[in-house]
This record gives sequence, structure tokens and C-alpha cells, in this order.
Amino acid sequence: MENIIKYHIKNVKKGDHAAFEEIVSFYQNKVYHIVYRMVGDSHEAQDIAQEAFIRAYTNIHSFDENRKFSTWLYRIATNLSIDRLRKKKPDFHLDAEVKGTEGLDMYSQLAADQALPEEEVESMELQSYIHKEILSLPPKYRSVIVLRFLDDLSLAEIGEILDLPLGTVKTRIHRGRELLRKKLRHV
Amino acid sequence: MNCEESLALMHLYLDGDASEEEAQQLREHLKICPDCNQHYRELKQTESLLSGAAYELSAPAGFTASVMANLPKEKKRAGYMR
Repeated sequence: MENIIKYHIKNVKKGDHAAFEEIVSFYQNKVYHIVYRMVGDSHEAQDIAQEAFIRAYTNIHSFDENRKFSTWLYRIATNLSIDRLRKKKPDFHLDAEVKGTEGLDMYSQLAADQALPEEEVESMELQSYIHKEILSLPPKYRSVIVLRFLDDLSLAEIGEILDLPLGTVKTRIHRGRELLRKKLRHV
Repeated sequence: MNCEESLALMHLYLDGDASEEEAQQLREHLKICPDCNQHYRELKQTESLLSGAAYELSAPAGFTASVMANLPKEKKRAGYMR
């Protein structure tokens, strides 16, 4: 897949605007996932994810094709998310708690169209509870936890995305895991 | 092994960084220490809940089209003008 993406990137660099569509289409869910788990609000997540792709497009000439494109793209997306969280810093902890219920949106949208078996409803509720607990983590732990469970990224790749040494990534994972253990042990 | 060492080892083990020997030491300790055993169970449960939440979320419908519509327009190249 990386090779097909590289081929599309070459074409984008040559000025083939349409080749970028393939890239967006391939990565849209992953980028949206990262951003949504970071900021917790679906409108904001859509906005930031879109901005991430636009930045990738306008800076495509600075992307080194010997590197992994996903690492570069996820880095843009996490940086934008962290910037956004910083901007609303005064209330962002409180905010995150409230925004966490946003996960229920997915659930209500789904439930409107189709009746779900009870176990599935329970599992959706559990999912939105976990989402909320992830959002309650300070952002520096949240980012490593979100990336770690997406797409089987290696800890070294997470370090590259977040521009952190491997040792720091591990420390943050351990700390984040302990914080979540306290929140999730009674589930 | 004391409980502090055991706790550090649990995280190494969950990261896939523990050697076979370390894993064995951890298992021995968990057998005789109920507190660490409980702690380890909770960490394992946390891990499995998190990996369950890792199902990929979908971008909203029309996302790609919206990005494409919002890309900056290409600059006209002087060479194309007569």
C-alpha cells in the first residue's frame, strides 16, 4: 500500500491535483480517528482533519519520499489537535469531560435507523464510556494511548509522530495505562 | 522481587519488551502476591478495553469531497500565458 501511496504522492508533486483524492480517501478514517479521539468533538474533529489534509497538500514538496507518509500525515494531525486543545486551555479539562458524551452521538444516529440487539447497545455504551475516559487523560498521555491502539503503530513510529524519544513514549504509555486502569477497573 | 519491581515488569511485559526470564519472574511473583495479581488483572482488562475501542472510526460522509473542494487553487503558471 505504501508503494501505491508513494506513486500518488509523486503525481501530486507533479501537479496532479486529482491524485490527492486517492490519498485523502485512503487515510481519511485514520486521520479522523486520531483527531476525534484527541479533541472529542465530531465537528471540531472534522474541521481539524480537513485542515490536516490541506496542510499536507500545501506542504507536499517538503515531504521526504524516503520516509513513511503516514508518519508525516499523523504528525500534522496530532500537532493540529494539540494546538487546538492548547488554545482552549483554561477550560479544556472540564470541557473534555462534557465533550466526552459526544460519543453518544454515534450511538443515537445508529439507533435511529436500525434497532440494535441489546448486547450491541451495551457495547456502544461501553465504547462511549471508554472514549470519555480516554478524553479525560491529559493530552500528553492521550496522544500515545490513541496512537498505540490505532493501526498497530510501533512505539518507535509513535515516537516519530510525536517527536519524542522512545523512552518518553514508553513512560507515557505506562503512566497513561495506570491512569486508565484506575478509571476502567470497575467496568 | 519486590512489588515495585513487579509493577515495572508488568508494563514491560504488556509492551512486549520483557524477556522470557523476566516474564517467568513476573509469573512467579503474581502467584504469591495477591495485590500485584489484582493490579495485573486490572491492567490486562484496561488493555483489552482499549484495544476494543480501537476499531477505526469513520470520517463523516463526503469528507474526501469536502477536502478536495477546499484545497487551494493551483497557481496559474506564467509559462502557460501568451
